[in-house]
Amino acid sequence: MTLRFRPMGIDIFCLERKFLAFNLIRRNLKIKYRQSIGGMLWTLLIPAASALVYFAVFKFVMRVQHEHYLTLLMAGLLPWTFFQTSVMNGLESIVGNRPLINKVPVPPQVFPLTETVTGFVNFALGLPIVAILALASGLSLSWSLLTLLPLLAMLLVQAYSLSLLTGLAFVYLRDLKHALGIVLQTWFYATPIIYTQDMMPEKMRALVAVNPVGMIFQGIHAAWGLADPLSGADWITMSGWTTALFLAALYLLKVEGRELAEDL
Amino acid sequence: MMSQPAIELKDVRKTFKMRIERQDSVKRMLAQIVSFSYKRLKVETREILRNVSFRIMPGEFVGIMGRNGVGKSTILKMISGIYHPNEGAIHVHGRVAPLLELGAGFNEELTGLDNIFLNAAILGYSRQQTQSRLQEVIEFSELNDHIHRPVKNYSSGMLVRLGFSIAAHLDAPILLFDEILAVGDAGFQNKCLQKIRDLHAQGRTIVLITHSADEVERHCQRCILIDNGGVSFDGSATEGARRYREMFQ
Repeated sequence: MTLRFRPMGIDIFCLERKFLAFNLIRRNLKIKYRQSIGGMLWTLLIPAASALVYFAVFKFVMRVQHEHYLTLLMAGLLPWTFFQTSVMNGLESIVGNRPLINKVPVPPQVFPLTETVTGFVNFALGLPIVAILALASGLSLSWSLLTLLPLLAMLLVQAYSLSLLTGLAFVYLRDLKHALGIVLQTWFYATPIIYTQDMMPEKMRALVAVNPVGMIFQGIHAAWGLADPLSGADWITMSGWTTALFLAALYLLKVEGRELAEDL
Repeated sequence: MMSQPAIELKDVRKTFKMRIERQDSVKRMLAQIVSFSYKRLKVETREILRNVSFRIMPGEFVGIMGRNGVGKSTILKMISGIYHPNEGAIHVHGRVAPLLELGAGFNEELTGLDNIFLNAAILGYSRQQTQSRLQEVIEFSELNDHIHRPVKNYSSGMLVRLGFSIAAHLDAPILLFDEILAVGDAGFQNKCLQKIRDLHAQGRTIVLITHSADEVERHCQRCILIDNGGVSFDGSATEGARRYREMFQ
């Protein structure tokens, strides 16, 4: 009994090599949690530290008026850290595994895929922290939390698609890493992570919709009860973006995948 | 009834791209897009192999020889499906274990045991297949209790033993080896060659790249010499080894 899902004839989720994908993820997690006793701790400490810095700056210096601002920051920064780390690791994952891709028939997409899933597992382990923060700051959690499931699923697909896109492009464009750093930094501030769409000036709100992850982050804040709920149109917008990125990644893999081992 | 060849190459031609200019870059792309003159970088191609044809029947033990850079590894990579021919066709009947490198993907932080699973997964094996052979792999590697230690503490000999042991216990009817026996001490080399002969005796097809004419004479039934982009000799191991030695006189 093997699962098969082959859009464009490509085993995009490595279902036919799931023992390989599983072992690579297991390796990533084992190394992470073995090397430093608090491997887990670091994964949380970095977004937590930035949350505190943003909290200090925006709450006390810029005087943002939001009752649960620290929760809002953590709720947004944790998934963003996952997203950003996945794309950055994904970029190097194919070139970095050159010795393997060149000696063994392995599907190149397995490397961005496993990097992304590893990041997602780390992130998921940190989610209870947000719940604790939310409850501690007096937020009452509701059924809207369930919307996190489709939202995070879409974020996962987008993270994988971008990891794969950048990972493949990096084979040919070796300065992509610098460009990506700039893009991600700009992207971070353009996304409702440390603010919500409702906090934006009326005229600028449309920006969230033209941002592939914009509505996802708005939705994450809404799920925790920190922002206005998404409309049906918002859900359609982000599903559209997710599909578009996924298809773009699939297409590039289809075009570049066959000769990749030689071009590396 | 004639059986199907295990491996068949028909008029295979293979070229490689040579990057003569510098690498493409985002900077260059942006500059050219701004000036409406975007072109992909030109690449020159170099022909490595042309008109390579041979068939290897199930159960044969074939040595492939030739000078460095002549395309021997490229042939094995094409048989494995890592590279693809530009022209011609390659047919393989049966599962191939491409052992172009021992211990592919070993991670030094993980234990020998973890690495057995990782390496087997990389080589395309399932959990059940790996588990069913686990005991034999550990025994052959002679690592005993070291199997539970991280491989960063292994000597290079131990690493090779573990890598070969995994490779030799995979259930593939076709095994491709690329000069992997050049490592390890003489004792272990002999043990490996003996193991390869056992595998051959079980009816597996073995293709081996080597620079040792003695090895070919002693173990192979047949030798294929690659020279100047094509097959320059295909016949008995003794004659092949003789011609190979001649090439360097």
